[in-house]
Amino acid sequence: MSMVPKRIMKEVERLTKDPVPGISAEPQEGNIRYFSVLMDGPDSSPYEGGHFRLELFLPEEYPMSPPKVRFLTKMYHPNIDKLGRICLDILKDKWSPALQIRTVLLSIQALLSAPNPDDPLANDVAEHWKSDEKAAIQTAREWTQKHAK
Amino acid sequence: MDTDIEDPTDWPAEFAHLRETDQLLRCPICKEYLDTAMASANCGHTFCSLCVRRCLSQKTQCPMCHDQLTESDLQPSRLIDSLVKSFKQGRRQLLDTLTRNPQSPAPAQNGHRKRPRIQTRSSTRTAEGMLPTPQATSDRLAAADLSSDNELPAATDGEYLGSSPSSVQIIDDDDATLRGSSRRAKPTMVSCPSCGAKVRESTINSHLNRCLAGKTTEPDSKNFLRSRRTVPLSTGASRLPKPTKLAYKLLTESKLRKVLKELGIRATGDKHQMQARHSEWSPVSDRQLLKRLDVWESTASKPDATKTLATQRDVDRACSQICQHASTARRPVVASIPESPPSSQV
Repeated sequence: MSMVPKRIMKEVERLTKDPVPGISAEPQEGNIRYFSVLMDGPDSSPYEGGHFRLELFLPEEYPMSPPKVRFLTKMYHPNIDKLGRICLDILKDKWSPALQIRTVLLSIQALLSAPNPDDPLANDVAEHWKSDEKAAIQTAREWTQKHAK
Repeated sequence: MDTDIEDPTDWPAEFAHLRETDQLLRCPICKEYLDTAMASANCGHTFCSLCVRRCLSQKTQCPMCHDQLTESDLQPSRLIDSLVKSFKQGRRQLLDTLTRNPQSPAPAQNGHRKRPRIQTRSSTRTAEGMLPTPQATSDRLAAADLSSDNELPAATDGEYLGSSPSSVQIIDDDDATLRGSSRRAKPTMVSCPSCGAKVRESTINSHLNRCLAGKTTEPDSKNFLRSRRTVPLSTGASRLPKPTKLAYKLLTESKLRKVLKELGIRATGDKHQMQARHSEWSPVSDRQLLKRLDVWESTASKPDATKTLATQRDVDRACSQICQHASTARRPVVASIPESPPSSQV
């Protein structure tokens, strides 16, 4: 049984005591490094009204290496692929140990508001977004209705 | 005390400025109060000495702003150290006073040390006010830090040993005062954090210096006081093994093992494990702190290739499950959460 670093305990405590509005993150029983996350789609985005599930895992090297985050809910988003993997710089090369679960989740929520089709992970979705943004947003809305209610 | 998690949200929401002060005095990396604060000379961001060195051993960037940063750009920030110390000392008392009577903050009362923890929590849970973002916080912290550069705080005890000759003088004077007062009062005994020996509180700093410099004999305290006035403290520190940076990729496993053995670090496991151990050791760079390395090994990183692979496999399996569910079920999400989460080794 390995001890849990104090910083993780702190973050969990803080997330429970002072949660981020629109985001809930709870560690799974028996594994404090594995979080079930529920995120509300941001207002005035195609994901508005949806409740999206994510999983977040803190690797052994955390906070020196970034948490692993993935959408469990199906998403129509140019920076999120069909496996739910997220293309976000702070989850990769721009990670810094000064970031934390709270800021990561806020960044992901911001990514929903501001899709970036020029740095795509799901190529077909990004193409759709670039060629006909209105239709792509409509599809994203439909997917939100269908999968994230 | 160690299990008691202290956090800026301990402060009632109506005292937002205290929350902010609390936040500002914390290291952005470990979220604890700054321990031996070091500020970047380039961008001014401040971290615990150990935390920032640990980061710099991986990436020569400021963890806050990603500016280029190396260890030589770090400067001690003594005012912050003093601020943290005094804030920590008054924290509980102030918190007690505030949570007991939040309407009219009465002057601090002695003799009521225990903090009503539950009451504090319930009052903070209702808090709506968001804390400042880490970025904004640290910027302000940096600003506070920069403005402090002109003035050296008067050291109140030996905490700033080994920093600069000017502060050593202050400490010596202070030490003498302590010595004088302890003649009248009963001397307080404290145990040395390094060797564990019981030492008079007034002489703990000098004892600690000798201890860390590797001397075993206890010289006459008066002589030592004199010798410390003349000899700069940094010479004592230079006897410790200097941290060396290794190009791990160029070292074979057996060579790395040899290096670790010479340093007195445990040399078990494969190259990856030894590398992780050595890079954790480098910023610590003190034989006395090898014990801390053991603690670290039990808490944080156990580099284990097989474990990571297993995690990846679990994730992949979960992924394919989702895809299957997604095509059939209307609400695939709930069903597709893996029964056993990846690497549940807690």
